[in-house]
Amino acid sequence: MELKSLTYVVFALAVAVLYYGAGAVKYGQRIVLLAANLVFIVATSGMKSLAIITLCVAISFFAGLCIEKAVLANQKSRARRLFWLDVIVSLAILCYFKFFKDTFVLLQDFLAGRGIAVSELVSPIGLSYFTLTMIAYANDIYHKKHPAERNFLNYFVFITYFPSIVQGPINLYKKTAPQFKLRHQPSAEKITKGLQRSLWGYIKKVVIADRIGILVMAILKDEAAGGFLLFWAMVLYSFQIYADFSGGIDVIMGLSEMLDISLTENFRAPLVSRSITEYWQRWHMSLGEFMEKYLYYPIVLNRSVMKFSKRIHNSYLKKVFSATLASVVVFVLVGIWHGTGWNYVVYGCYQAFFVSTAVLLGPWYKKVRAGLHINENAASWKLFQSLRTFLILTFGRFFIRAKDLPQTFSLMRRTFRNFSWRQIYVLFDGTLSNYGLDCKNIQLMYLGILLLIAVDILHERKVKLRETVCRQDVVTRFVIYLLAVFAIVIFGIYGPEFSSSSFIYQEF
Amino acid sequence: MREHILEVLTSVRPDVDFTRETGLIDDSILESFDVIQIVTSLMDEFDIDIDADDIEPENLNDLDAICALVESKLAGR
Repeated sequence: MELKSLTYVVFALAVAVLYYGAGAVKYGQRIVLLAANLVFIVATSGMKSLAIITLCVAISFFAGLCIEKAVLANQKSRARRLFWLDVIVSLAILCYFKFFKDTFVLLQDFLAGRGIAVSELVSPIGLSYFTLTMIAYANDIYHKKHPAERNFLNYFVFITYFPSIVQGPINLYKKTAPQFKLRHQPSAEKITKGLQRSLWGYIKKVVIADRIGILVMAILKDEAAGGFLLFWAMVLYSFQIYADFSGGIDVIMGLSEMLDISLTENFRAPLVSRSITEYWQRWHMSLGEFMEKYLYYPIVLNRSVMKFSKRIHNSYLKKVFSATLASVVVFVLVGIWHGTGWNYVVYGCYQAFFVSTAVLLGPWYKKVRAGLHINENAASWKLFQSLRTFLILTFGRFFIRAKDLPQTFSLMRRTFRNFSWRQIYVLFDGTLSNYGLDCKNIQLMYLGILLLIAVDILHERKVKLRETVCRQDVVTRFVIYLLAVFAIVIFGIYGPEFSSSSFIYQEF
Repeated sequence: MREHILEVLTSVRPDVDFTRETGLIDDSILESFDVIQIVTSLMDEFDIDIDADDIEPENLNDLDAICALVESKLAGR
């Protein structure tokens, strides 16, 4: 059941109706959500996937109870052992499906050759996301941040919550789980705002991202494409991945808002980021929050790391050593979390390079800016910084667009060997219309990208667009909603060729 | 002690008015690198241990919360 399919829309709306209908019955809403989660998982990835997810949730649930028991009994080393055992088991399951599944297939073939049939293991939906949620849950119980959940079904509903299981956001128990225990009343404001956000999410996905996707795929496939054209395809890919991921998150957040369940925000206008560090505070924020809380701070404040940094003689290096080390570890792991190939490791190192040098060379950069008499508050400087950040990110996306490292380098060679700014004319001479989109569709694509940038700028300026729409009279609102639905239906990319265009971050 | 803590905070971020701000973490006024600088400076100045799990918005959102964190660590030493 794809998020962009009509089946999902009907399913989500039916769940919302049943959810509020069951509000009169005690536990009714939780039962509806439990049933919806089960149906969604089975319809999306099958019974085997449901069995693996249930096993993961059961392990995490019982580990939480055992850790809490040891913590309350003041058995610190037992609690620590149980916590690490739970983390290792969770990561082992994640690593198996992410890294070693191919090895299992080889073993399966080997055993099949000897007449032993081993059934295929299906990768469970959302494993990369809910594994992090479960690790955070165990960590917070270990540090007495909140008590362990006593009811298995409550914990199951929280972990498998169908809107967010597919591609996040990564929810923390303390913030999200208590909401499932409340009885929610339908509110016209929440339902309207939720619908608005979901509609905008679908526009981003099916009108903008999938349209860009056609062009990008066709250009990258064309061996004869020139350097500038390939570079432009990667620029467009940057917009595609943003519209795709944030569009999916908007659909999810909108649906959740309709159900009166508030989830962690995942984006804060990343297109206006002025540095790579700032970008990671605005992009995939729930992953950033997880990494900062459960990896970055523990590494920086680790006694051995602090002891080592105190031995450094240079006072500035002493100050920044632990933060730099933690940044490198975090970003390499962020890269690996995205995928299994070496290209993802290099992608993580690439991000780590910019984040850590921003800290290491910060004072030197400041001196250079002062020496060049740059006014850091000037709009032109801010625009330059945003464009520079966007280009650095676009270059980094060579690593995640290609399947592996050799393909990444091949794509880079093709792009930069024949690159010339003089080839810019290809954007205006009709060349682009040879790549799957006609002239009108290309114009629509650029209009979509401009809309994406404009909305980010307005959000950055604290303009509350959804509230502005809500304040309009009934006719204007009706026209706006109708136009949004028409845009999705008429301008959306559908059809057999594109039905498989699942959300990019769903694959991670 | 409040003045001493304020001095430490201002040495890390001279551009922030710590006596007025109430959402240092929630409003993203402090970045993670600032948080680390503040925490390690407080650890050195007051000879206390602050763990990673102490880094929560409720402990670092304003000057009062930071003072309360330092006091609790001094009391538990």
